[in-house]
Amino acid sequence: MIQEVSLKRKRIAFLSILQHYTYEVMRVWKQTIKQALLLLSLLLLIPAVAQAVQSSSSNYQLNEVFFGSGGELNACSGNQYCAKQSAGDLTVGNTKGNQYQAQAGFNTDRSPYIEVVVSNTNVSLGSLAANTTKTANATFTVKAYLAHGYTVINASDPPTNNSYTMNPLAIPTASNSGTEQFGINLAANTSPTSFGADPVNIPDNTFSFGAASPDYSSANLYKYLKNDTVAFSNSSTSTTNYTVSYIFNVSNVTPGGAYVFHHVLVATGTY
Amino acid sequence: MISPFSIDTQVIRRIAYAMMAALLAVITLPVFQPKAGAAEQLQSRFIQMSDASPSGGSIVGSPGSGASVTYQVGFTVVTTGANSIVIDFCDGPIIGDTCNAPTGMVATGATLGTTVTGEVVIASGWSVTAASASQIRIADDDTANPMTAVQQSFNITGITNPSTIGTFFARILTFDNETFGTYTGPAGVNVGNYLDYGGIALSINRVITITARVQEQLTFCVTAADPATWLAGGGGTAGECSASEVGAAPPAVVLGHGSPTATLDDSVDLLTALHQCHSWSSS
Repeated sequence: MIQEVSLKRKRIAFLSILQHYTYEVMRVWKQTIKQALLLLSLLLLIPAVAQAVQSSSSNYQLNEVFFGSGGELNACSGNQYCAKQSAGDLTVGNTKGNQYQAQAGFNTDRSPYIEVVVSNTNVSLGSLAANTTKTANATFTVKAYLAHGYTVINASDPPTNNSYTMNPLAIPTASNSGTEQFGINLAANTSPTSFGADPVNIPDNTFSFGAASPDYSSANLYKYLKNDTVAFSNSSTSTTNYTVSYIFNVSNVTPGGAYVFHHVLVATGTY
Repeated sequence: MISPFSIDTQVIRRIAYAMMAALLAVITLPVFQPKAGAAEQLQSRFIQMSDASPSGGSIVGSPGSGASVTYQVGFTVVTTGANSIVIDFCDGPIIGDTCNAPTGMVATGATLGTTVTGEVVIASGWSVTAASASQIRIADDDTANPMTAVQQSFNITGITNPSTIGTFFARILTFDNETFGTYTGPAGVNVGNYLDYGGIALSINRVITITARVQEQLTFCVTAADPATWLAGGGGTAGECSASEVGAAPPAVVLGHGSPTATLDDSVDLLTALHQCHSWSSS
């Protein structure tokens, strides 16, 4: 009997300690849950702050909206490095109607942009002769963003020898050695030799929309007029690689001397 | 004893108050922005340069030197009635952002040139009223010829391009009066009470230079072959001294007769010799 009472007392003491311990644990957990709720409520406000760090004017901004399964517009590590992260794009590229267009993808920006890169900028053709056509190539790339398109024009005069200007081809014309001719195109040619290339949209025609103008897109036909549009895009576009093919033909009466051609290409975006 | 599952309403209230305060702060933030007018973005805006070459290079003359460049400016206003325009050239297009001038650019000599379309016409009183290295101000001399909703397109001459290859930007602002409203600068609240705005990207790129020579030439050849037969059947160029028929028929005459040739008599030995003299290229 005494043993049973002692056992009951021990059980009551144990339950009391357990109850007290449970209460303490629950009190700590309540505190933790409160703090977590407070932190969560503050975290809910963070997206507005994240938009503010994107570039914007004092009055207007083109907000970039983020949908998707990964990536981040402004991922920063401390105060040293920031990056746009991209993972699992649901869709990328440009979509447009008659009046509006939108850019999809994580790597978008609110700023209008145009970039032109010209390479192979110095070409020496040596001596020209009446029985031979001299050819040359140069390349340029264009991309334009948040634009309604771009045009690239010939801004310079044809090749000159002091005051003499070499005869440019006013309409698309085939090369004819022995006749004074200067012309260009942006096509893959087979005559007078195999040279040049058609425009290449990077990565493909669903992302980039650049093209050669009709007068400069036919293989084996050459033309050159100052202020002519040689390439264009009718919408925002990624990179298009263009190859310019030049032909030089001289006749027996072409004035001797040094000919120089500074080919200035001007790309203009419309926004 | 307090139930472990009881709710402390005071804490909940504090959290709710904190959330409301934060929400209120976010909502009212735009009120404290410097300006929130009804300005609209200029439509169909562009700047076409007559020369996209960098300045300061070795090429002389325009285009190619990047000097004395004409900028054709185009846009359509949404808010009509503007009587002055500010164009800032910067390292970014966003209105109100800090504006660093493009390296090497000089617009101090800018003047209003011909007008393609619109009301910004010299004869109507419009002119460049002030210009610095990277800023051009254009205004009407009164408010009699404000811009309407048609495409404005006019030339600004006498600009020196940036000296560095790459993209730079123009920011265009329009103002109601002919004195640029309250504009004092391109950054922050200094942009003032503009009507419409727009950013434009421009690109400076390298020039492709191609050189060639045309040399004076003199060609002289003598042959017994008729030029009509110079068909270059064995090589060379038809009709020219390099045609194979030319070299295959050297003019030759044997004086005398007999075998071996030993007799000179009164008969005539004839030789048909043809020659071509060819010179070209004179300047």
